[in-house]
Amino acid sequence: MNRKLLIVILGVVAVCAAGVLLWRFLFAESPEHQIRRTFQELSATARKTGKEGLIVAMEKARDTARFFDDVCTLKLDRIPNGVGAMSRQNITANTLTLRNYFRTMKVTFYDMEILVDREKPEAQATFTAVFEGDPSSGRPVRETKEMDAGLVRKQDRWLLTSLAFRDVIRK
Amino acid sequence: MEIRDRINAFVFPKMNRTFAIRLVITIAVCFLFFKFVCKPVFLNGGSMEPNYHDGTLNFCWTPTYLFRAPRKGDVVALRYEGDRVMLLKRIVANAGDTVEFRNGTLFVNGKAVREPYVKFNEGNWNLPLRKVSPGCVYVVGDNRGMPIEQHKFGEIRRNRIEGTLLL
Repeated sequence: MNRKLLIVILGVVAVCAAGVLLWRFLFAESPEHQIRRTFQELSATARKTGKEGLIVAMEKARDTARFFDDVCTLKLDRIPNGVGAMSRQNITANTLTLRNYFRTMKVTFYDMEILVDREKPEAQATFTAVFEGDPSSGRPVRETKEMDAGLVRKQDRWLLTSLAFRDVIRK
Repeated sequence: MEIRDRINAFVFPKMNRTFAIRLVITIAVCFLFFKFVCKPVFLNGGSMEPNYHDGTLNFCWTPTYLFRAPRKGDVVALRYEGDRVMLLKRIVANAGDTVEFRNGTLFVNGKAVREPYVKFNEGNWNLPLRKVSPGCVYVVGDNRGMPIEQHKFGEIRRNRIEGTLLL
């Protein structure tokens, strides 16, 4: 091969590699951004807009459970099965029950404050969660709660290890 | 004639470059002002009656607490659900204070508080003594005529205070 051509090819490869590194350096997503995105995705996955079949509901419930670590500690008082250590299977079952009960449901996260442990792949998030649900029978539900969440990074994903309620305003 | 021309020029300005720049700057300034400095809020609910009426428009002035700390007696807008839903309440106690209601009378640090702004009071609010946690303020609405269970009040983190009301 022509030596000049080889140098040009190597040069182009080096420039491309430098470009990729620079891109990753400049536009790398910070852990805070990744966690915010995780909650946005969780909100989108948990959302139910209308009637859905059992298979779709099952799939959605399983997708929702994927946001949780295999053992996640819940302290969600006043919610059936909302307290205790839950496996993904438990969370799938609970989510499925919830999806069956509500005709439409939506959970939105606001005012997120994130504290990332730089030494361990762990983080704590405090946020306001608003749950809106329209049951098949009965009055629509709208609950606003402040929540504390613990997260751990596993296989390039942030997974929830704990979730607890805290009232926004406490008498 | 000159005045008429001026009025005409003001009401029907010529669409030239200067005007376009002015228009863009005005829109941008208004947007930033009403988005971050002076947020319009529609009052929904009667927890501050009769001082602030249900269904009225007001403005939340955010720079207030850039220069001073929140004080007892301040009427504040508190972020409840992001920027979309705010609570309007009055600060009655700061972190470390004790708060208690006895037959409709508010006690802070064991002393009865004179509240001239409370016009509706059935005298049936009772709440055991509690201490306000660090980093929090204790807020209550002015309308004590409604049942205590239906009234949203209590301690809330100070960083949820968005500002004071302008009107």
